[in-house]
Amino acid sequence: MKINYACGSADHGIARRHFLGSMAATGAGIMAGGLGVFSNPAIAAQLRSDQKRIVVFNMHGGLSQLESWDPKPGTDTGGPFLAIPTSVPGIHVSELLPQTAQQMHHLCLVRGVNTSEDDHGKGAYMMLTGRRQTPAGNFPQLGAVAAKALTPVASALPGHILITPGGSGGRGNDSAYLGPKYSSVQLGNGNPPQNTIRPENMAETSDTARQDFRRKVNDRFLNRRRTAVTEAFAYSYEQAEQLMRQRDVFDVTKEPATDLERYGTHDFGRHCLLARRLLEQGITCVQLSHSNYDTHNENFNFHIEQMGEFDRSFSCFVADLAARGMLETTLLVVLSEFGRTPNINQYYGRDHWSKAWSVCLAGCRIPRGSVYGKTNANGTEVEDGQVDHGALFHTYLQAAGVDSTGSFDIDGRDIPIADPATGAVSQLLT
Amino acid sequence: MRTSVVIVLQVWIAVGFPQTSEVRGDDSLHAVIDQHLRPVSGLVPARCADAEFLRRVSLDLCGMPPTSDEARAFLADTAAHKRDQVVEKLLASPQHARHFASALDLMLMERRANTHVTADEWQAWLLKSVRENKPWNVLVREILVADGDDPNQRPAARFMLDRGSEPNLLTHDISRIFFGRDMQCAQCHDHPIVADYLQSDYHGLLAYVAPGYAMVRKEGDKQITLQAERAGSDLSFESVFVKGTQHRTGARMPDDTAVDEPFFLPGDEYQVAPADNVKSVPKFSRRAKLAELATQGGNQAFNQNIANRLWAHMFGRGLVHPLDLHHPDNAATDPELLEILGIRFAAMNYNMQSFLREIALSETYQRAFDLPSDLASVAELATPYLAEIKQQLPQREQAAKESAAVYRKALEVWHQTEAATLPAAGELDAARNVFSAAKKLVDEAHKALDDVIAQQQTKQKIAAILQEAAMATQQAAVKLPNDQLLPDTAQKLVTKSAQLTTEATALVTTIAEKTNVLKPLTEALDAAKPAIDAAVTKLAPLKAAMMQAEQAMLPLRRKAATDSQMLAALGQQIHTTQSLAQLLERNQAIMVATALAQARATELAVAQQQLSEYANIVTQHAANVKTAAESRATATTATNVAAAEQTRENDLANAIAAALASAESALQKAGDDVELAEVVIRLKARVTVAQSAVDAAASLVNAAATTMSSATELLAAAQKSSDESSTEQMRRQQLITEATNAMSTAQIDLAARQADMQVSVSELENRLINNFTTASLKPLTPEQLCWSVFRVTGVYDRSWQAEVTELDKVSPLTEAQKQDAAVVANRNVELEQKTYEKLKSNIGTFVTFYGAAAGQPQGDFFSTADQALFAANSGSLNGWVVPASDNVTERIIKQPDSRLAAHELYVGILTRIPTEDEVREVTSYLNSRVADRNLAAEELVWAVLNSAEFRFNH
Repeated sequence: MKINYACGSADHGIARRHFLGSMAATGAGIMAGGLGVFSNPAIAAQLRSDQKRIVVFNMHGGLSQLESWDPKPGTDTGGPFLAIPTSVPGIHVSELLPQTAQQMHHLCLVRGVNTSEDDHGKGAYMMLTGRRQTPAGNFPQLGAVAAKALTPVASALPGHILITPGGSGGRGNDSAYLGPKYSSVQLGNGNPPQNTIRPENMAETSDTARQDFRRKVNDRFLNRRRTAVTEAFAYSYEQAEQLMRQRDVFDVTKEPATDLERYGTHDFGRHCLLARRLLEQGITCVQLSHSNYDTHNENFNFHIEQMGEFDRSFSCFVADLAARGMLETTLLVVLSEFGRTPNINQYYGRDHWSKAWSVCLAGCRIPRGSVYGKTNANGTEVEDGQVDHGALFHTYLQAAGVDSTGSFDIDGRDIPIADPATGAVSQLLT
Repeated sequence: MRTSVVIVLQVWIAVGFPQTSEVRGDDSLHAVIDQHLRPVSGLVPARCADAEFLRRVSLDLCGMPPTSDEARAFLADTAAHKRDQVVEKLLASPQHARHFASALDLMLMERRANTHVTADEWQAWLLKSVRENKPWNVLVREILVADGDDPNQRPAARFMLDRGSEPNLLTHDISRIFFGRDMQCAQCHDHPIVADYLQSDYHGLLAYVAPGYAMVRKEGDKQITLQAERAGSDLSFESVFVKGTQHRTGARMPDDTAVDEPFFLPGDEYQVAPADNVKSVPKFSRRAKLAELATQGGNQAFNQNIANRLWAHMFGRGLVHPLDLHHPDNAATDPELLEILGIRFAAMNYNMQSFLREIALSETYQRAFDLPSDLASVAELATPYLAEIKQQLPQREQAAKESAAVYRKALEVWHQTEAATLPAAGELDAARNVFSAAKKLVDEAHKALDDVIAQQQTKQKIAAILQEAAMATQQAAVKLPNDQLLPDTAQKLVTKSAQLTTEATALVTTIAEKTNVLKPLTEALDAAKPAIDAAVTKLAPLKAAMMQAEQAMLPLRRKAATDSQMLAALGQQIHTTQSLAQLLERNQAIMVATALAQARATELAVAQQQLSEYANIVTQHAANVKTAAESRATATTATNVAAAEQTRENDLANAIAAALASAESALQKAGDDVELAEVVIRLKARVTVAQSAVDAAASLVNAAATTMSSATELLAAAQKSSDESSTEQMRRQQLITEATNAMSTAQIDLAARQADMQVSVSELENRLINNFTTASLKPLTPEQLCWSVFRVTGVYDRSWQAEVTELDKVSPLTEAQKQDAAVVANRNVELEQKTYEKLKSNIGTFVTFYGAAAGQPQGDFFSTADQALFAANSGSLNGWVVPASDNVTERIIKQPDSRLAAHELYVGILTRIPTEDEVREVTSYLNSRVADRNLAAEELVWAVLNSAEFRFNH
């Protein structure tokens, strides 16, 4: 009895390589911004119609809801800033967000967030994983879940990117039981991933020669046994080569200088522009952060400064995604670990506050130009539409087309995708 | 004949059925393993080749492959027991201790971050333990009882301390790591998927560790965190799915009944009571009890867990897999074998080294990586065998069903006895609370009284001191009569002393009052005690009944688990046999399809033959048509010529006749004109001649017409024949099209049958891997990968050699010492330690790229692009493959014979001789790179290092 191992699998391999090849061509042909970067319109169309993406703005330290999404001017807690009208009649935001206000028709403000957790680490954990931290188990972050649930199998690009304010990059520790495959690839200060440049003293021909020989040795062994494990191993090298070829995907300087000018030449502006670029290239989940909102002192001065940066970059980002039709397939989440106290302390600061704060959403199934939930007159309590981290987590996933009530099969174990004790907020899903 | 072969097959597929395995004289553990999992020799599967064995066992026991010199020596060795010898050698090597300690570290700590004990201290402790071959039960006991206070045992406390001493985390990890059961999902309710994991199991184990807590003791400027323990109490819980039904459990570990604890009155539970900066020690330590009961030899779950984990260390997967999902519905490949391994491992005093040796010596471990080639011959036997084993199914199902029902009933009874204890237990709680409250008041009153007595004593003491000082001052005043200050001072001292004495006297009343207060409180306390006694008395028989019910339940639970596992194992066996049988069916289907495809091909060939044969006829007919057409053309020409001749002759004859008529007319008119008459005569003669010419021409025309007609007929006939043969040719072409289609259909069908076969073979392959018939693929851990890269690139042996030189300089060995095996062994341990320290900083790099996240299971394989990018572009690997003193790259470069260079490459990195194809590849690679041969050698080494064959152990 003859057993031909290579039959079938090889065809798949070729088909995949072919697909990757066309992706590579796309990478090589990248021009300036826009969906026009896809040399193959069919792929662009497929990405547009099929692949959902998520972008998370993590407002590190705890953004004040009162100086952003839920202003309370003229009350004892309101602080010095006014509320301004937005592009949606009847909805007002803080005057610190004049440009974002003009994009309100794309956005949805969730004003009744109550997470009951005032610790930075725990709050961030809850908002990013949708669960409370337990000592006995760890949970994957939104980006890892999205990468596993949404990234096309054939994608050479990582599904989960974290743009960090600094650092040298590397692999994040945020995928828990989903495994390192779905851990974030970190872009330290927006730089391309580690080790994506061939060593200076190595000629391309030399690299090609050794890679070809490696493939030969590899294939011979794989003909003896071919399993998911060996396929994953062989594929990781192909993926690495693709990443090197597609390094430009991560290079924000390939974006037009005028765009950077529009977004703001500060780090956050650059990171937002990079996020736009990455999403356009089909990266499933991009998370970036803006730091630092932990304003126990001088809350108002800090927010003038921080919101100024944020408003400019974020409003450009929203407008661009809308103009390019990407809001249909891209979920935007602006979150923090918590909000800030209505009470203004003696240092003109606001402290940690998780009882009544806001999250801003947009895109995919999220209703546009809307507000969900309501706090009382001076923002000390949620009056209506209260939501917590768990419900929000379900909502993010369902907005992006993931059935968050399903399970992942992890090494033969069924593990719920999101906390089964809660569910999505139906009012936030159209 | 047939029966005996069936037995062969039975044994081959055997997954733990004692009735199918013969009893052998040799009862060594490796023989027992083979008895359960062994195929008959000569059949499938094959034993692995020497090279494959050497690499496999070196990686499993020492974490790195052999050097190329070691590999060559082993391959050349003709000794019969060379495999046994190499196992001994590897187990005795210092690299084994290092590798196995690292494996234990991964298993126990899963790369958790340092918090209270450094990983270095912990790993050093593990290494020391492995070097001493500390038994597993002793190691675990030390881990479970260590509180971190004894500096020698502090590293052992890392298991608990660096999990933050968190009871739920510890319950989770102890249940997984020491009992092979991931009961996490049973914390809030019975496990939703695993029927056997009960919420009461979780809480029973939690009750063992819940009294533990991390306490921080200040020692001068320093702080030290210790694992302290409070007195334990019952845990109450209810399921989030079944609200309102209360449960209560004492400490209980998997595969055991609840522990019977001595009763202590509140306040009497401690050897060292909890207080500020004090590590409390209860009189009854549950943690110590857990350590004692788990490790004393009788706990099957504990024994089977470690047997399974050591098995997985060698085989890449457990008899139960995943390792921490041991339950009846996830049966072991061979439940009986696992049971035996647990018992035998305990009986060999948990000697891990011996256990690893037994596994390494088994035939099962030494099986080939490649799938058996003659599956078909075995497959033939599968169908009758399948029918036979299926007969066992109803019986097994019945047994499993019955024992499950019996167990469920016992569980119900136990729950009833549990419920019956709840009121009395509640009363005891209440009585204890009353007693504790009363005791608190007594303690407070005691403290208040003691405080006053202390105050009084202090006042009395100071008064006495003042009195003495006053007397001394008075004496001084007598000696210095002129001094005014001294008498005043003495007076003041006297006054102060008197005042304090008065105050002290006054306190007597207070003391009396406080003593009086104490009295009713003490009475109240005494009064509270009978209630406790009563509750204890009331509870005792109920608890005894519960204990009895539990004791009765435990064997039934084990029986239910065994029956269920045996059923599941039979199911696996049936599936495997079905896969095999299916192989035969599918092979037959392929044969049928192949025959059909061949028949269709033959039919096509015949049709093609017929067509090609007919081509001559068609050609002949065409030629005939052509010839006939040519004849007809000739006839046409001849007809035309004859007609023209006839016309010409007619014209001439007519012209002569006309001339004759004219001449005759002229003669008539001219009378006798001789000349004219002569002309007439001549013309008349000429007319006759012309007439005969005309007749001749007419005759010719007629002849031509006849020829023409015949040629036309012939042409028509030829044309007809030709048309007919064309039709026939088209028909034959049509037949070919049909035959081609039929063949293509047959070929598609064949391909589909082959694809079916592929699926069957893959499925069977998985089954054969899972039941250890074929060797599995084992990804190297980050540590193994690091040391393996260092070994094959020569980095390791270079560093080792440097340490040898250094050590020989500092403390050279005498000739006598060099002959002393013990001295040499110690020396090697020292050298290994130094080499390790020199290189260990690189492990972190490999862990960063190839290791799973901290606190996650470390066995799950993953491959990511960043690993491949690290391998391709970082300085690390590219640096290590550079030629250096006698490493593989340099050996390749220095070897002028490309063929031998290929051997250096494959033996050096993959521990095997290259095939002819591989030699050719290397040769052509090197020959095409004469100008930069060094670089080419580096490329080759890098390429082989990055192959799957290197990345995996197999």
